[in-house]
Amino acid sequence: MRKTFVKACGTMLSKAPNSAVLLGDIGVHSFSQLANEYPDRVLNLGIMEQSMIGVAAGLSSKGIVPTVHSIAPFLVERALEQIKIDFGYQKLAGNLVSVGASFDYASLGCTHHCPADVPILSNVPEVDIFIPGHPDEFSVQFGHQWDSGALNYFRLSETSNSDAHILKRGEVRRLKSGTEAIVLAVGPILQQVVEAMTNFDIELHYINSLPKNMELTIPTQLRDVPVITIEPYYPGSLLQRIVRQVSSSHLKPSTLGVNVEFSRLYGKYEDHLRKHELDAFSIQKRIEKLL
Amino acid sequence: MNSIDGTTPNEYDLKRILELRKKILIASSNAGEGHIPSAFSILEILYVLYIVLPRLRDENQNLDFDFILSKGHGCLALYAVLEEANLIDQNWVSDFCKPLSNFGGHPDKMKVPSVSASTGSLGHGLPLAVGKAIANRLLGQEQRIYCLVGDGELNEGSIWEALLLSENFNLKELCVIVDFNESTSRSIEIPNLSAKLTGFSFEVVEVDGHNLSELQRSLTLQTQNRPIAIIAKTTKGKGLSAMENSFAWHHRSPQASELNIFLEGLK
Repeated sequence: MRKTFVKACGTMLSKAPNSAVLLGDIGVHSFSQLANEYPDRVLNLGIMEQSMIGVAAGLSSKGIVPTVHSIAPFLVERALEQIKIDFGYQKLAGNLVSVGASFDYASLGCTHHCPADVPILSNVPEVDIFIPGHPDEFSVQFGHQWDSGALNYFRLSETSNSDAHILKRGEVRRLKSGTEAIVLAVGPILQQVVEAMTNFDIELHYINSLPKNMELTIPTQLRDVPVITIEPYYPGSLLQRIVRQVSSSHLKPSTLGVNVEFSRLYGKYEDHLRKHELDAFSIQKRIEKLL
Repeated sequence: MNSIDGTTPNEYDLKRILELRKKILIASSNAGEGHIPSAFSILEILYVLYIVLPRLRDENQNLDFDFILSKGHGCLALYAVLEEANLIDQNWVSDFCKPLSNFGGHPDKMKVPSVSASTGSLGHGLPLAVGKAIANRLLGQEQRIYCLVGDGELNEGSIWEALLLSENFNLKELCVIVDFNESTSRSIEIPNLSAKLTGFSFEVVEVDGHNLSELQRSLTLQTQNRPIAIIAKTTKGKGLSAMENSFAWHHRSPQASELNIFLEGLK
């Protein structure tokens, strides 16, 4: 997804003189060619995330659409108040593009993990959240949204689903029919969910965006069955957006996601998935228990 | 009364500033809210920026400016001066901090279009100002960006990040005004501020922050490629002896019974 991001920025910069990219000393090598081509609009502001967000808001206030890039915990958690006040409160437009959430930097320890990014930004008014599960999904989302007039958060992942699903903003798409339950998978966790679902008579849906102020609608006729949300971060943000339908259709909700605890092991991304019971085998077992 | 067309700040301005202090007291007393000493501390700075400089400008001078009040709790002074500049209506005095008012205890640009940035949490204004200055360069627009910060606010790390950015980008368009009212005397002091700012390649001038002529000269200072910092030595609660340098009044409003006494005590 990172290569796709650089390419998408190249397209944006070439087409739109009112666009700029701010780097938090991350991805500098990948952006070196664009920085040479657009030295005034591709700026490495160094390691000062809170000021980087403030500067981006200043750019935005004058009509320059900034795209700010850093590692998720530094971009979202360190600079949260700047995101809230400088962008959200002032309704300024821009793009925040993170890498590294939830534990893509598995072996670097908890300082570099960020499974709270989506729940945190879900509670900042005026933020549109995009969680692409495939580089092609990001490419389309960014192309459509970078100049949307809102503050967009794009959560890039190191892992990718095998297939891309090009969804509209806020769309919930049914990928598989079934009768016993509804499973909703978000972004890059879809790969594990699909592998876990092979023997179930369950309806599978996919989501890769959580737009601001929008309830999501599950395209289903099922009622009185379990609905299981599976999110690749701390769980719950999706349920907030479907709770009305869950209630009116008498669905029985469960939320699976990253456990709210410090993930102190190192190793690989897959090791953390197993620890949080988000690998395909664990998801299968958890669904069996919930049915 | 001297003419308002004079070439320097004059007696008329001093009388107007006295009237603005009265409005600030009345607004705060009505609402039971507001940071009066902070507003009195910065009032002359804002008055010169919004009232004196536009009046005295040379026809050939580009005095287009953007202003961020980073210490948003001083907004009573901003509202008073914006009214004086005919940028907001006089009803701010009676509306201040009412539930549906546009004029709250910190300025909200979504409600007051002539406010450039919504501030309140300290340390946000200067990075925003840096972004505005960089944006203007990209857009080919000439505009002075003023950002007023308090000396207490200088404790925020984001201020020093933004100073570093100002140096790196040679932001000659940027003028940082430090309302040095000694708020730091009770907390973490900022010794040798002038040397610190000089170290960040700023052109630094120190002025009496209540002297209109000194403010006028410093606010129009230009450099070749360095950002400017004005260290304005001010007094919290300036003009009212009961409030001057009294931390007890930092976030306190006069009772109705105190108001007339304070109005008469203003100087």
